[in-house]
Amino acid sequence: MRKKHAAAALLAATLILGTAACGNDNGNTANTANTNVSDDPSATEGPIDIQFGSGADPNAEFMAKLTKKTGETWEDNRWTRLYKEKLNVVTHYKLMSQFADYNTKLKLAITSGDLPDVFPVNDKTDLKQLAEGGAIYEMGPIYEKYASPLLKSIIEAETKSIFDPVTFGGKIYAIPQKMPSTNGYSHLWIREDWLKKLNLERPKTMDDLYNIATAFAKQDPDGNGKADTIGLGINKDILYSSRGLFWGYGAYPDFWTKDAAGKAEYGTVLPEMKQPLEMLARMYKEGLLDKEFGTKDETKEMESAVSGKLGMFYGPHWLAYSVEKTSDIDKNAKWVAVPLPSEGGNAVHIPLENATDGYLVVNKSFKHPELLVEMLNVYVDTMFGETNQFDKFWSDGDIDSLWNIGPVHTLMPSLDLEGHQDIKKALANNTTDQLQGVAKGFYKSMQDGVVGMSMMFGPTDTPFAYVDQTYPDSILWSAFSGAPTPTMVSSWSSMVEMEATTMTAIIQGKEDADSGFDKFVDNWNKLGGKQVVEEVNAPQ
Amino acid sequence: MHAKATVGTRIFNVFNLIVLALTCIVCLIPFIHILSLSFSDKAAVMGGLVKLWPVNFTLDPYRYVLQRDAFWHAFGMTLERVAIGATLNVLLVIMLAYPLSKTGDKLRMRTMYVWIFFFTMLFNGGLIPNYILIKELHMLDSVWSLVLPGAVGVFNIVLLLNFFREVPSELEDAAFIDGAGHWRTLWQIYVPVSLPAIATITLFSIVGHWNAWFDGMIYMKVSHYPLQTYLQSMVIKFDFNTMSPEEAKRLAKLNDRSIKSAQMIVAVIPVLMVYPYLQKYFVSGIRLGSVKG
Amino acid sequence: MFKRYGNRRELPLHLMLLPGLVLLLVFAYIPMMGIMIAFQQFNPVKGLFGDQRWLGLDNFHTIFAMPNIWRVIGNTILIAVMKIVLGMVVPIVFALLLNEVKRVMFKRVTQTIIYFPYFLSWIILSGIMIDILSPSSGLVNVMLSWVGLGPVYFLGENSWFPFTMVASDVWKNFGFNSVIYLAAITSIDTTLYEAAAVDGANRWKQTWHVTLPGMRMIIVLLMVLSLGNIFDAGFDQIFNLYSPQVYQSGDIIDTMIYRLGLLQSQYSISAGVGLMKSGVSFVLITVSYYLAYKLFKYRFF
Repeated sequence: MRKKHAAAALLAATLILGTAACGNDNGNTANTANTNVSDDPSATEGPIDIQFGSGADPNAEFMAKLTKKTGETWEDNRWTRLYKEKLNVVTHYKLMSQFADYNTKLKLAITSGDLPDVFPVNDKTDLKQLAEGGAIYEMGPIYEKYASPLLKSIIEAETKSIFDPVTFGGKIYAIPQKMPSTNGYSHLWIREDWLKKLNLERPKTMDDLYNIATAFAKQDPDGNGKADTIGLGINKDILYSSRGLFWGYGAYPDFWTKDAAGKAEYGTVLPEMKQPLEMLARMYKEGLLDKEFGTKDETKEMESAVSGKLGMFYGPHWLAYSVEKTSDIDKNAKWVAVPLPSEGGNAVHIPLENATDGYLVVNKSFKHPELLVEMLNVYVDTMFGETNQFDKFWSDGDIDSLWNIGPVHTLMPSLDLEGHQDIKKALANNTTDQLQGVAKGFYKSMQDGVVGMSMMFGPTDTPFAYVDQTYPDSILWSAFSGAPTPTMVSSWSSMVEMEATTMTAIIQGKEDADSGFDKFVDNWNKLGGKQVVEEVNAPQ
Repeated sequence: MHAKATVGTRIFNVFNLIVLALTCIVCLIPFIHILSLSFSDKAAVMGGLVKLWPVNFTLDPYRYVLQRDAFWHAFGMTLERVAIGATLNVLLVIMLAYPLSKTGDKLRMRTMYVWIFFFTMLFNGGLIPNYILIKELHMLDSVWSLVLPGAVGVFNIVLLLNFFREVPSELEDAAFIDGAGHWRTLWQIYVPVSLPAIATITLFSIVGHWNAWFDGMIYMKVSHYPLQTYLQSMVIKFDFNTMSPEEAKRLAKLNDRSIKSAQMIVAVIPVLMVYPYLQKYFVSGIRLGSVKG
Repeated sequence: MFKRYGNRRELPLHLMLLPGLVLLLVFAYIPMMGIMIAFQQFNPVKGLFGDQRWLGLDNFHTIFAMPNIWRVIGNTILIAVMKIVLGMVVPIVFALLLNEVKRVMFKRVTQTIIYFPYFLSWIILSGIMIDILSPSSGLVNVMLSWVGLGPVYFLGENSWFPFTMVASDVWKNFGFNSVIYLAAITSIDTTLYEAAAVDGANRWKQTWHVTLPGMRMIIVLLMVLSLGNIFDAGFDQIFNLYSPQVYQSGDIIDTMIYRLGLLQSQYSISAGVGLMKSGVSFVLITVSYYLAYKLFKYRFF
């Protein structure tokens, strides 16, 4: 069999020049003659085969368990059976690869004209090229016509701008797979036991934060008699690892906000950045930060936290999975997430991108683009509809993540938050046995001793307790989420590089936070920043 | 070689042994560290507490790794690839280096041939045309996509042809007088006297196939990933500037360094064992003189 | 007469080359069509043979118009050249030292151990290196402090970063690279040593007059071939170890192109950079090939 392959390979060598040019058996050329959309999918006879593209993790632990338990696989499971039953759709995967490799493989499929029928696109430029190259359907009208009210309410729950990245020339080309945007929060994690030990209050203002960092670094909170503790954690991805601190000053680095006139502007180059940078530079100078933060990544930062050398850091809620291990090393350790402190105790705004997990598109050669919308209708109805089967499709016993094993998915943005709210309510009313849906799953993990779950979704002192107070009222939605503009494509990487090097230099005291920053803004504009801002604000 | 060593020689010997022993230590430390990580409890690893000895010894990481069906599938795929790929590489290298080691008067167009081969060492078309080629040859998701594109190892050919040139021409002449053709001369004269070089090339081929991961990712389906491709997707670097929160979260869950270390150890041991086996070809010299005589 | 003899002797040689030539034609020369991407504004949706926009040399202009491009090229060449030179000298020295060891067991074990680091990936090693090289607590700086030196911020100082990359790369690869020189030493005819010993040459002289000349061919060959790596400073290593504070001395062409491609895949720019690298390497190797031929009447290959 394999030998035949090799022989065929050699034979084909002489023909390759000819075949490569016109050999798209399954690609765009095959069906171009017949791309009109039939109105009613049920009018077609027999099952409809759809070739999907999807990221997956076939080696995932939960899938191994599920296969053992029910025989389900990534290719054949309760979701694919549901679509077969409800829509007569037979699921195949033309392109399935590890999440990490999916984008690369999709790009190769695009260049070789070998696209699946329905697939998610993550890279906005790929999307733009597919749309402009006429390889995918315009989905706007199809979505309008076929999407159920429930589906629309979920996808558009946060802002209508969710369609911006998939709109080209005023036409919508893809359907976003909605995700909870609350994943974009940066929380302030702090060692409650250290606070107590040093008789400190939780921080309300940035001055409090500074005082606590000083105490953590100088007053030997771990009681080992050595000055080996760090006040505030930060790593070489400065703007990412200390986002929450900048937000406390009303600065929104690496984010597009709107000015008073409604014009989009880029947060990293606004004057609000100076104060937080000054603060970080001061903390660095006084030894409150890790002296070597400039060469350490998040894993290294978390090593300091877990080993009990670090008392406070900004980061997303899932870092709970890392710091939960601190108590294995120091049994008194207690991490809590506290509301973000701010300069002068003002309300903090949280800048968020409208979160999605890729954008679903339909290949022009596939005849029933409306089936994608129908599948999503079935998905949301099954998960969140009035007669939902959430429990069955969310988890199976102790195996969760089942929401993600079908070819398409879209989640309610408030999913995680509602889990927290329900648990909090149930605990107050002593009705935890009546929990439903997400909350039931979360609560079960907590009861099973998954400390990280309690640290994230528990009733108080958790990231989601803070989300509950601030979402959606204190959210600033991103003012730009489209495909990169021409100047971005050519110059953005140099601008980001300048951003990163300047911020590092300022914090390390090699550049002045005031004049150094002004100089940076100047150079940034010269490098193309001014033009990028214009392009971002140009009418699409 | 002399029965009586001079003082200088003895001092050198001692100094030499010390330098080599110290070098060994420097080369062993990271390996021992990774070994210790793989036998340590997750909390100790995440806290950076593991140095050169396991902390809270556990076999769980190995249990986890060895129970993965996917790991063993990947392992099997790699063995298949190495077996086919390295055999093909070495055979082709020997077959190609021999004619190219001849001088221009014995092989016309030799210079042209050599440059045809050499040119491919430096120039290549990049990922996209290679992918399209493999697809058009219907070799996607087949082990041939991993072994055929790199089957002709030009570096190895150049290496071996230079070794072949060192073979005294008297040997060849003698063989021809005995009525042997090129094919027999190659296998009965050239190959036996070039064993150290061929062992080196075999090692390079095995290691190259063992370590390759990118082609596996590009050409193979997930269920047929070779081992290094399978491992690569788990040790990917976090890059928050480009990652969506979704991706970051997914990766954070995967980030278990004791398991990664255990996987690395299991994946590296077979290839480490190849070398001591091939070593016997390096330890003693070759006596051409006797053959020559 | 001569010609007929030549054909009978010659034809099998050509036939032996045939399978290799066919494989190269298919898997190397046909895909070389992809080089044209370097002269296009490549749009993947249109495919390799689609109606792409031709830009001529614009992509190369774009590359050289990038800010800091010359600094980055300078970093690349500096790091690459140091790696090439030390990456040859150190393995040769160790191959010679190993050759002097007469205890077979010790020799075998040492050979095997120094070959270990080659198999550790940079992503794993980077975590270890950050620890070992830490200026406050790293083992290396602790040892430096014993002799009154340091602390040195190996990964965080622009003046040290390139050398740290070179040293760690040499460390990782020297054991593996020494294998080839060991093979060369082993291939030296042992009767030559015996003859030298009879002439009263001590070990140092034997090394100088027999071993090194015996390795000369392979050393020169590898030196010439390594010119092909003149722009290859080691993406995996630097990508895993650099940080914004050492971009100035540590950013190389490959990392820069990687970052450029993050926002949008830069098929054409990458192809252009690849082509330039190949072109320069090709010129360098060709020139040294002909120089060697003119001066020493020796063809490397």
